[in-house]
Amino acid sequence: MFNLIQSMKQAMGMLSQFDAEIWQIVLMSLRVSLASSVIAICLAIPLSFAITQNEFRGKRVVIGAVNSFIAVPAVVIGLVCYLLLSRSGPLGFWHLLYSPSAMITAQSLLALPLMTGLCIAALQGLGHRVRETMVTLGAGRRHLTLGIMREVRFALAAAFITGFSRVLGETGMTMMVGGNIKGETRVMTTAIALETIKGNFELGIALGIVLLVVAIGINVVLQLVQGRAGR
Amino acid sequence: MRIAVQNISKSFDGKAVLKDISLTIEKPGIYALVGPNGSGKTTLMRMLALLERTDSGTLKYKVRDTEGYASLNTTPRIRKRMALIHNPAVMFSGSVKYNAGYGLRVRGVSRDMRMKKVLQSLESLSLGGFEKREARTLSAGEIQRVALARALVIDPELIFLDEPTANLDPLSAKLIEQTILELARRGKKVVLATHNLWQVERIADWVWFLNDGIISISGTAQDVLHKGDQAFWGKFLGRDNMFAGEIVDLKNGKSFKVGNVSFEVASDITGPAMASLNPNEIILSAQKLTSSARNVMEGVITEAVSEGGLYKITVDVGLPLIVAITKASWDEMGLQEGSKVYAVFKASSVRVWREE
Repeated sequence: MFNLIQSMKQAMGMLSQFDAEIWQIVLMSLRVSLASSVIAICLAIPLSFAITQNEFRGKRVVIGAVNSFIAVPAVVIGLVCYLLLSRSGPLGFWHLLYSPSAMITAQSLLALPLMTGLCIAALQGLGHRVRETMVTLGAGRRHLTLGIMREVRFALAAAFITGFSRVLGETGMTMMVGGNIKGETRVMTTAIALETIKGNFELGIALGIVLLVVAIGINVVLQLVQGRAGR
Repeated sequence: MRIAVQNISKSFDGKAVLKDISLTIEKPGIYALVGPNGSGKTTLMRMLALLERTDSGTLKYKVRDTEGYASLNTTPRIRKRMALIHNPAVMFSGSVKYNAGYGLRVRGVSRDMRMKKVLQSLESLSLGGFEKREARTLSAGEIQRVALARALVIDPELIFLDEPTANLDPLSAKLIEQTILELARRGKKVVLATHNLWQVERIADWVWFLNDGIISISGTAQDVLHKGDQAFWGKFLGRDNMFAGEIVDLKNGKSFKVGNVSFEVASDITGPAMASLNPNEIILSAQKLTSSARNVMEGVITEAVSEGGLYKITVDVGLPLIVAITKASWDEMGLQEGSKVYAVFKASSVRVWREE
């Protein structure tokens, strides 16, 4: 029978001894999620600027669409990525399925609407007067963009952290496109799911503790950043 | 820089906000756009500052040393010659120094030169020592002064100010007015959008009165405000200290009678009339003063309301007289509701017009 205390002891032992398998999984998780978050924020910031700083027909529809994409279930994104990247799919020739690149692609797609939505909200929240003041003081396009980014820097950082936190905790989609291959595409969430099913509770618990610490750490940073953004 | 506006119109959601406006800004001086809320003065000012497009008509800018008028595709070049200050002004996140130096930073001015000019500009608005303060934590009056310093540091030829002293403490309002006058003296063109007719009377050279999207009256401040339709201005000034009564002849002057109360006025009309008195032009004193002011009225404070840096006090002198004084004066004089005071004002401070 499952012995919680025994498993906890073993998990703590693995962590304190810097078990190679655990740290490889943790590093892979952070690598994939950081890469996907960086890609997503690099797309989200220019996209949100293009949407909010220009007047065009259908602007509200576009913002509505971005917000709707936030609600798309991760597993559906996983399915689409799987179909596109599978050997018989249109992008099958890239041979990306079950690789960290496939996981990064899917996680970027998951984070993109969330980060874009948050960046749009931040830019809209800034109000048009800041922009106008910069314009009347002679700011050209480059200074205007840099100046506005500076004004919303904490909100942009909060968007990044929120997106990172979302993709780091994602399981099903990551499993579908990554395949949870030991030493290659195994990350914290997929490993916890697998090891728990297999009955290897100590590894699951050890990874769970790390994931929890990282998640709480991210949340603390997010609260601090949001506190500054709200000032 | 000269501006020539010809027949411009603007609508928002099908509602005409400006109709067929034409004006020119050529000589240095202080120009006032006056009008009630919704009259279109802010929209017109935003158009002049190239922040809003016109629906029809032309807006031409003639820049010194160039032939003819510049076209709108030279907008950035024209914009760099002017500045607009909102009220309340927007402060960027960061220090007063960062804010005040923004215009120079985008112009690529070196750090040392920027610092020198910023400190000079802050000093001129009594903001010396403020440079390291977080701009957004300042008081409304200080923020408005930083905004003016930020605009002046780039030495614009044309400055637009939207309600420059509304809701400000008296010190800031005075400093801003003095700066505006100084700018005009230095050959700049200053355009104000304002409600404050008292201010217009004090500082403006030229007035455009906007009503319902058209310029209904224009002229020098003296002509428009003194020779114009006084009843109309009376209504526009609002209800503070506006009385209906009668002007009667005295041996050496005129007196305005409201019920049992009367005070001296400087006017050439007699009979039924209206009178208004700027609350800022009444002095409160605890003792009876001997001065050149013709009117000294004894009364009791019945109400005091804090507004911005001011106290708006109602003194019952037989009729309710509104007096504006600073919080510092209120505290130093140890005033409270029920205090006995004297309200002192000059006969020439009372604006009178014939009742219709």
